[in-house]
Amino acid sequence: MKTETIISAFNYVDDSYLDETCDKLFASKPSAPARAARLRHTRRIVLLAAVLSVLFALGAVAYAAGWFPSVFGVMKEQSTDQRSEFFTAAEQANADTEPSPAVTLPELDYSRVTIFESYYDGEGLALGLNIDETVPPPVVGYEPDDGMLARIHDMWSRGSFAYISVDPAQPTDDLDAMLARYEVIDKGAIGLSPEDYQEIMEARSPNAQAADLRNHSSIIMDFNLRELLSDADYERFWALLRANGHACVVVSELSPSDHVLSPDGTDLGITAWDDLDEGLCLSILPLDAPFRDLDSISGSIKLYCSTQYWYMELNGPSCILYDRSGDALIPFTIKNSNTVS
Amino acid sequence: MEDIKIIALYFARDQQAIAETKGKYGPYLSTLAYNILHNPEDTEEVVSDTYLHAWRAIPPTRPRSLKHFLSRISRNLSFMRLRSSAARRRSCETVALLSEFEELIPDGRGSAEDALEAQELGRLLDRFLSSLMPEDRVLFLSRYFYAASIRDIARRCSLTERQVKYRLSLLRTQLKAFLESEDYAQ
Repeated sequence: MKTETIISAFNYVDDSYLDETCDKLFASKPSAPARAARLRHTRRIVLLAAVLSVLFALGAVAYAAGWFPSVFGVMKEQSTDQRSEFFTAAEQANADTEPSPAVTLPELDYSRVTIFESYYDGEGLALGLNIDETVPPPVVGYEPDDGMLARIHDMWSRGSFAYISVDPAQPTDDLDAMLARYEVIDKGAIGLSPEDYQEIMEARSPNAQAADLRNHSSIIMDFNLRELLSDADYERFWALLRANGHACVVVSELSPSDHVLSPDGTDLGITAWDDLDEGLCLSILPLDAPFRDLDSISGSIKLYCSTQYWYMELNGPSCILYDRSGDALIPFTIKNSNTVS
Repeated sequence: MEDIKIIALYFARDQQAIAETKGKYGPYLSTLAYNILHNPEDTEEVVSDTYLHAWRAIPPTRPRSLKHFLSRISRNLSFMRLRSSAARRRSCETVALLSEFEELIPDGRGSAEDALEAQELGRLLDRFLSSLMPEDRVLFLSRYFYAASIRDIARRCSLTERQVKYRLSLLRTQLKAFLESEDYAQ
């Protein structure tokens, strides 16, 4: 009822405000080839990072536009044997259902979580989620204190950089050092091949090329910052980096955990976590014994809210520090599909 | 053709009025309807119905702005169609938009049939909009009048999606507080 009233109320908005909005919203569309090209480069760079070392996902859940696709359908295709049968039944059970209303989290800046598919058959449980974050946008220009800098330098000394980890005995992500170490061994290769080196150097952003960034983690972070920040904030970051030799961005993020909890706070079982283009799928197969063969199952999905500090040095590597700043629980109740008539 | 001439065609009961309307505002109305419905077939039907409604309403109505007169019809028809297709699966964009509407006004108010209440709320909404900076007003109406996606708004306004989401959440909170301060919730 509230929704219908407010939708109708917009009929009375002054025409001049609609004109103002139309001018912006329906002006000829800005072209995006530069951004698309940037994205392709980013993917290539990130791919190289994955080949060379360990790549850590940032935890963002893909947001699928258009109709809610069936994550269970995708899981069915990707799974084998028992899991495939489970997701086949889950997809069929959800074929004609509407998503649950989104859960709004005022404590997390009104982020919204939608459970758009759910399934419980007495043995296993599966949930399809969409997480719509409204956390504060990144803040450029944070100045780390000595304690934080000590944490960052400690991580670097152990070979842990933003996105990549290297051998702690040779803790550097300097591309020239990695190239110098290049060696083909029985199990593959260590270091960086001349081809990969060349590709990374050429794919650097104009700012990174002008500053001659040579640390792998910084080159990747630069690409990710171009996607994360508005153009104005990105240039401000670079102005600070050039002026101070370092710069830091604070990024707030809401991300799902792999904990699906019973009402008394215990895990329902070991949770599989599949981040698909169609949405996030959490599944527990089988559930722990106390949660099997119930008429319905109630629980909650735990989400983490974190503050990340993206720190980069102009002539050095980069680092991301994570601080957990709060949790949220998304409740659900699902009837047992085998007892529903 | 200028709006005033198109309106004259409506008054003359000349069916060329619809052709001219379609030529001038068809893509605009399609975008608006599609933003809400996310379905090409439903969008096409709503836009056709918009022309029919305009044909029936003019005369006697003489719109001050033909564009916004049509957009209000199209928007209302789109939301009506959305309600009538409740059994169908909605797009996640639509689900998100509807849940944001829920956050705009305080609890305890809002009745489906009460046009007067919508009118009163509309008046307050207008006052709230007049208190905003133009950039925020554009963000707010892009989302809640034109049902534009976060992605599209971000692109149009040269912001990131996170910035748009965050600013919209602040605006929703501001509107709710404004309505409470105006005793709307009581």
